[in-house]
Amino acid sequence: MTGTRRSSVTSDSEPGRAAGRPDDVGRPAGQGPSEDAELEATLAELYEEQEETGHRVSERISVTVTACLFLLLSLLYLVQAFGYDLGTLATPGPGLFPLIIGFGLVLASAGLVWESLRLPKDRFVVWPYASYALRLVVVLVASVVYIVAIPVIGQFLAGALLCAALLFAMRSRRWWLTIILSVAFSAGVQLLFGTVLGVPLPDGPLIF
Amino acid sequence: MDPIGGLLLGFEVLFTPENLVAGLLGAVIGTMTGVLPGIGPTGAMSLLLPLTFVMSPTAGLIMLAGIYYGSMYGGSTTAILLRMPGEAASIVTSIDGFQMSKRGRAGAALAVAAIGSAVAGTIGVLLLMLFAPTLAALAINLAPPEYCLIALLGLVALSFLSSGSRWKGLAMVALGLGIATVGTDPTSGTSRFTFGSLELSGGLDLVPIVMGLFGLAEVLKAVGSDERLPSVKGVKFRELFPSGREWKEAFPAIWRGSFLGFVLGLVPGPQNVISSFASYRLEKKLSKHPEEFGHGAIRGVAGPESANNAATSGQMVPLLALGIPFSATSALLLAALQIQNVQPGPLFIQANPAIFWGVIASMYLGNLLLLILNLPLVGVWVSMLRIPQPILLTLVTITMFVGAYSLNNRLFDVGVMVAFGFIGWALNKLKFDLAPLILALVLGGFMETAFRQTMFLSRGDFGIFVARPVSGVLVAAIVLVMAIPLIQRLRNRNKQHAFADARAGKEYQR
Repeated sequence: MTGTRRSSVTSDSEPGRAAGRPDDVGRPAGQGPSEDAELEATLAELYEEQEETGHRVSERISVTVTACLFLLLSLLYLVQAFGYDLGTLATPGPGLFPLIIGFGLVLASAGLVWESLRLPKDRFVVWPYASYALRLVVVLVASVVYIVAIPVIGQFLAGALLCAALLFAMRSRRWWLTIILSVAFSAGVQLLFGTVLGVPLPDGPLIF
Repeated sequence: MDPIGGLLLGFEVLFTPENLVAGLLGAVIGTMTGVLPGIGPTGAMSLLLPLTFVMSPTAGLIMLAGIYYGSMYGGSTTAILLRMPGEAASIVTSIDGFQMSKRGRAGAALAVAAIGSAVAGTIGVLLLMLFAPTLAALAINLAPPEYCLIALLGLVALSFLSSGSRWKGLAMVALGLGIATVGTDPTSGTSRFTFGSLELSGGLDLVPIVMGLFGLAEVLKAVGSDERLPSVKGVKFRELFPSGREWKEAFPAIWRGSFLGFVLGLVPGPQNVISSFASYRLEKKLSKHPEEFGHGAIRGVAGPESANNAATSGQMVPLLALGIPFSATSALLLAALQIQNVQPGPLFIQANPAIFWGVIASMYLGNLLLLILNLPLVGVWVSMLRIPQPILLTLVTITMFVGAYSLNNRLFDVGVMVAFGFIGWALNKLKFDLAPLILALVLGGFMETAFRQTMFLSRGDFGIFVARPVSGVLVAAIVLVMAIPLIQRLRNRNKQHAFADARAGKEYQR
């Protein structure tokens, strides 16, 4: 049995996910460091970080850039919020709550920038290499095509195309299986939503 | 309504074809979700949210609740057999559970996990049944300032107590609140942040966002990975019985785990996971043979598995009694209610006894059902692991696309889902926690209304937030939650100094 892959655990926010990096684990307050260290050592041993292949960009840079984008977004939000009627404190207008949130956003982004600039240099975020990135682009393009093409070719065909693109993106080798599955899945979903649940789905040029 | 009367009503409501099917579906899908890596309870719940639209509120809630606690069962299966927990609440189980597997006691571990989960689940529902109506009755006395503060407490607690940096948590909360303001303001009728778009003036629908962040983002992550799941040999039914000694050890742990899990579930945070860790630590501390832990101690399986199940019920208390979710999963349950125009809040139980008691009844039955599904049928789930991930994920994705469309019959929602799918993927990569974002999205509108009502009541005076004892306590709690990490850091620094002193040969006395 090979070492467990950390990425197989679903990423619903939890302390355990960051098991490979003990300092990320959120601990309930008051725990002694020695018991924790033991538990984390066991977990760390179980979940050796899988060598993700990709561009290793310094986490400091990645998060700082994100935080700056965030700051920009917050400022735009804040500017927009000022444009709405603030009302008074006793009779808050539509702009008051957004104003508070806007300031909160700016504060959070600023804090994030400050914190990310102080990140250690040896932590990395692994961004996808060409092949993975390409697959993601395929999924994105397929999704956009689906949305754009549905009014023209209908849900069944668009869905089948989407499935085919996804299977291809996940490196399905056998094209005949891809086609069969795509048709089957799209038909199945069409039946479930369209027939059983009665949702009106866009029709295509053919009868379905 | 007294518990007995309520239960009778609940079972009466439950034993209709629609609700029974919903319960079965929830339990099955939940188990699958737990067993299969790549999609967790939040993903499955958000995927099926559009489906609940066409069901009755009771059936929808029964199904989603079933997925929620069902996934707590399923996760332990792969955790024990393969040391690969299907979801995070079973990570701790994989430590000792897998060790038991290696010693040929996989069956016993699975049995203890399943039975522990069933017992804990039942105790949890019992406590839920007793606590929630009482809390709701008390909560009717709550006024807008208290509502606003409880929501704020939930958001602050979730962002401060989750993994990752607190600034990231705060940023996610602020972002969620910001997104919630998009659309037409209900009080004044003004369009906010809509930039003239007709679609945006209805506001950004929560469901596509959630489907993107939890569902599509996971699919995108899986597109990049290359996992081959190892095959497992079947577990014979005879092997499923733990020995008498194992039972004697496991039972107290199950008992403790149930209560610990429930209590922790009442508090904001990803409590299914936190309670499993807490139970592990507790069992280790109480054990006469702590050195066994990490090498196949049955208490290390019984306790955490019970705790993570009981935490589910605990989390449903504030949701059903107050209408305020304290975690991502309960936020999704709330979303399901909102879709159906059912008003959550302290009056929810009074106004919708059929829904409340129906769900309670379904949880009793569900735990029993899941016990059957997870023990004798464990082989079925394990063989499901042989389905290649690309096929599963493609099916999930196409279902999500059509599901998103089916909400409002518009492609805009599909677009929102896709956009948030990629955003969620990126945020996950950068280790931002998405739960505070979801919670903020769900609570945003509610919090704003409560805030405005508060300001109106107090004529602009912020002092109203500390005027009554309950609100004063809440403010103190918020401050405390924000202060805990700072206190911890100071303590750690002191400990480090002390340690350094000791090493330097200075005398250090505890």
